[in-house]
Amino acid sequence: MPLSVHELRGVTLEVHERGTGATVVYVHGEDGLMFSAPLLHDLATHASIHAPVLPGWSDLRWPAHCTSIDDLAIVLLDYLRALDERVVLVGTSLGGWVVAEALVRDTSLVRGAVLVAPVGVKVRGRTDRDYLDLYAAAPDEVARAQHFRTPVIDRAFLADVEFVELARAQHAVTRYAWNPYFHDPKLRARLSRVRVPVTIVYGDEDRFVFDADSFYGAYAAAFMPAARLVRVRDAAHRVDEERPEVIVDEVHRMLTELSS
Amino acid sequence: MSFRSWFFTEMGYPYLPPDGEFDSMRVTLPARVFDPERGADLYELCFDLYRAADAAGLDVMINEHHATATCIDSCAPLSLAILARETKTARLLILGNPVSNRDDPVRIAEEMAMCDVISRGRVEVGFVRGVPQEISPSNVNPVLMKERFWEAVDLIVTAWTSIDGPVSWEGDHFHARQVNVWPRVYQQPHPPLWIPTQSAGTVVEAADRQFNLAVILNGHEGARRMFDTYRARSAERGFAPTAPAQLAYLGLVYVGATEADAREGARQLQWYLQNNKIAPQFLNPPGYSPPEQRAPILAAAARGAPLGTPIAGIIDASVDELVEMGMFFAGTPPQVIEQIASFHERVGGFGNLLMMMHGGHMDFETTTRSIDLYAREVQPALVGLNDIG
Repeated sequence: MPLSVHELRGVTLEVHERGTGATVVYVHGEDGLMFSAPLLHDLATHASIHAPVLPGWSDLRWPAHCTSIDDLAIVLLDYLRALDERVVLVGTSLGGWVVAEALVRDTSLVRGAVLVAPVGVKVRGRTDRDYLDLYAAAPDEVARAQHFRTPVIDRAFLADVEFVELARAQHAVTRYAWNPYFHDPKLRARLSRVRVPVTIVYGDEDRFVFDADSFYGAYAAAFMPAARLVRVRDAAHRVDEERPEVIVDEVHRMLTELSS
Repeated sequence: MSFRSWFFTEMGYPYLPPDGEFDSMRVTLPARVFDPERGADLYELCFDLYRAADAAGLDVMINEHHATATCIDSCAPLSLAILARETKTARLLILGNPVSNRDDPVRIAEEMAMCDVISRGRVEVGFVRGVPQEISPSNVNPVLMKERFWEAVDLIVTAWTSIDGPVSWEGDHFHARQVNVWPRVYQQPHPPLWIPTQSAGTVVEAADRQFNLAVILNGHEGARRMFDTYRARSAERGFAPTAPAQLAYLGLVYVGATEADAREGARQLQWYLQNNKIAPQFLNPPGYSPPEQRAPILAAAARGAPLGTPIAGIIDASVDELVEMGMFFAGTPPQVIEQIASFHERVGGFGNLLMMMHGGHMDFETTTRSIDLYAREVQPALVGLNDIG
C-alpha cells in the first residue's frame, strides 16, 4: 500500500492509503496493521482508506509525550486536521477506544464512526473486570477470547521479523492500556456528547469482554442517541479478521446514509 | 572484613497441595492453601534462624516476594525491623526493596531510615526491579518499571540526604512535597546501596552508580561475565578499581559434619529449586524486556516451545552437578572451603557470599548445624580470601 508521512506537532505519522471515494480513516487495534490487509483491501473497494500506524507501533521514534490513549486520540484529530476534510472513522478494539476518545473531544471533521469490538469503557463494578486479563490468563484462554475459529493467519508461521513487530505492538498496548486496564473511567459518561452517527459491531463469541451482549449494549446506550448495534455471529473479539465483510457492509451502509 | 558471609532464607512455605492440583506457585495459588498456624511456626523458625546466624557471627540477608508460596517474606521492611532488634552485630541486608512496585518512595526512605537508626547503622539497602511474575500483583506498568525504578531510587537517596529542611520532588512518576525524612539515617550520608540482578543491562547501570552488585544463582560462568562487565564498566567510567566488597554472589549452601550429613542437608535445601512452578503467562510480559529481546521468546512459544522458568535448567540437576556449576556449595567444611575458594578464583574475585541455607522442610536443628559449622570452620578460612595475591 502507498505510504504517506505526516509531521504532526512532534509526531511522525505513517499512513497507508488505498482506494478511491469517500475518505475513511481506519484506526488499528492491538496488533497494529499486521493482520488488517484483507479488511483494508475490501474496505478500499468502496472508499479511500487511510490507515495510520499509531505512535509506538512503528519503528519510528516514539514521541515522549505520547503516553496514553487520549494522546493517541489527539494525534488522530491532528491527522484529520491535516487531511482537512470530513471523514468516517473506523476503529477496531483499542483503535475503537482511540476513536471514541477522539469523538468526545471534537467531531467537526467526523461524519460518523464504526467501532468494531471497541474497548475503553467500564460497565461493571470495582471487583469485576470488564476485560480478560491478557497478562494473567493462560495462553489458550487468550487465544479463545480473540478468535472463534483458527486464525486465517496462523501465528506459528510468522517470520522472525514479524515477531519483532508483534512484540513491539504488545509493548505499545501495555504502555497505553495497562492501568486503568483497557479503559478510561471517564469515557462512558462523556460518550453522550457525541452527535454524529455511530455503529458498534461486535462478535457474539467475544470472550475478551465479559458478557459481550450486555457490555456492548451498555457501550451503545452510552451514546446520545444510542449507537446502532450490530451483533455478528460466530466471531470472537477479532471481528476484523473473522468477519471483515460485516465491517465492510456497515461502513458502506453508513456512507450511503450520510450521502442520502 | 574482606570476605563477608550472609545467611539467608527465602521463607518458602512448603505445605503445598499435590503438584497436579495447581499450575503456578506464583500469582494464582489461592491464599487458602496457607495455614496461618503453620505459617506462624515458619516465621518463628526463620527469625530464630536469623538470630542464630547473628549469634554465630554471620551477617544476614532478607528478600521480598508477593502472591507466592515460594517466599512469605512479603513485606521485607517489617522483617528488617524485627531483625534490627533481634540481632546484635550482624549487618542487615535487605535485597531488596521493589521500589518500582511501590507507590511511595518517601515511605521506603522512612522505613529504611528507622531500621538503620534502631540497628545503630547495620542496615544495607538493596533496590530490586522485581521479577516478571510480580508485575500482575503489583499492577505496575512493565514498560515503565525501569524508569520508575531509577526515579524512586533517586528520590529515596535525595530524601535521605536532604537534612537541612524539606525538599520537593515533581518527577515523571512520583510527586512528593515537603520531603523531610525523620529520623535521618544513622549511616552518613546513607547506608550502603545494593542491586541484585540476572541481567547484563542492570549490571551496567549498577556500575554507573557504583552500587554493590549481587548476582543471583548464575553459576560461575554467569557470575564471571557479570562481574567482568561491572569491573570493565567501572574502569571505563573512571571509577576506582572495583573492590571485592562491591561484588556479591548468591548460592545455596549446606555444610555437614560428614559427607553423608552434607548430602542429606543439601537434598532438603534443593526443595527451593524443585518447587518454583510458574504459569507461562507470567514469565514474559510485554515491556519487561525490549521487543527485540522478547520477540524470539514469542516466536518459540507460537512454534510450540514455551518459555521455562529462569531456573528450569537446574531443577533436575544433582547436587554434584549444581556444585560443579557453582549454584550450590555443599559438603564438609574443607570441601565447602575448597568450593568457595575455587569459585572465587573462577569469577575473578568477589567479597560477599549470600547464602541460601534454609528452605523446604528443613528444621531448626538441621539448619543451625550447617550455620554453626560454616561460621566456626568455613568462614575463618575465607576471611582473608581477598588478601591473598
